Amino acid sequence: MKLPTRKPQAKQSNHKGKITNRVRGLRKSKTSFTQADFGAAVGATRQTIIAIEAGKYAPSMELAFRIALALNEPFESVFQFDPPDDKGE
Amino acid sequence: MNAVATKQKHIIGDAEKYAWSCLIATGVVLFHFFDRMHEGWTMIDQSATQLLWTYGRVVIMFIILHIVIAILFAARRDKNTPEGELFETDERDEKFKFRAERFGFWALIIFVELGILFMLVENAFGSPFGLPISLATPSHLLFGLLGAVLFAEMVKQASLIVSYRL
Repeated sequence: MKLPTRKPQAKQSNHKGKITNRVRGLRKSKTSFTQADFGAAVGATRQTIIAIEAGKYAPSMELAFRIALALNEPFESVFQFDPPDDKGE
Repeated sequence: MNAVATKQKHIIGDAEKYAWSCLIATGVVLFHFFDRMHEGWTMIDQSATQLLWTYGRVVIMFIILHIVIAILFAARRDKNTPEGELFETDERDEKFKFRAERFGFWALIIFVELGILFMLVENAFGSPFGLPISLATPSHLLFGLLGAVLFAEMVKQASLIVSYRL
């Protein structure tokens, strides 16, 4: 009897996908908030807003929802998830 | 729908400034400790009383420097700073702090475990392997253990700074 073969999984763990966002563009176009004001409005520091806008930090679900709420936009229009390249292989 | 990921100049926040201050302060204490325990690169064997003084000086110096840093940060608190905190923090600071504490903890465990291993190997076989530090005398023991604590603290602060800058 032939055992089922399984593709190696090691490489997949290196491709976790990426969370991107439009916070900077929406903040500038829809509000007059500075980064510091926006941080205060959503309960984060200015440095965290800078890191989120630069794509260096993926916020928690709660902070992400608060950001979307502050921007008055649906969650999915503010944050997007780029899935891993090897999805479905 | 284009995602925005623009390159921005790194702005140092209070949490990072605090980590830098603590790293430098701990580095100064470690340098002073090293200087007290060595003549050039050779460790001096000191009496128990001298070691107690050295230990006391290092611990007090560490505490005083950290109190001074805390006072300086407390003096420049702004209205956004929560009660009982030195500066404003959020989930990102907490996440980085948690990670840094884990790094510091593991650094301490590794240094102490290496110290125990060196001590056991030296007592069992003499010093046939050319170990970098001997823990056969109280001076060496103090230097190994207190040095490990200070170095682990530096690893913790350095890890915090790296997290902020990545």
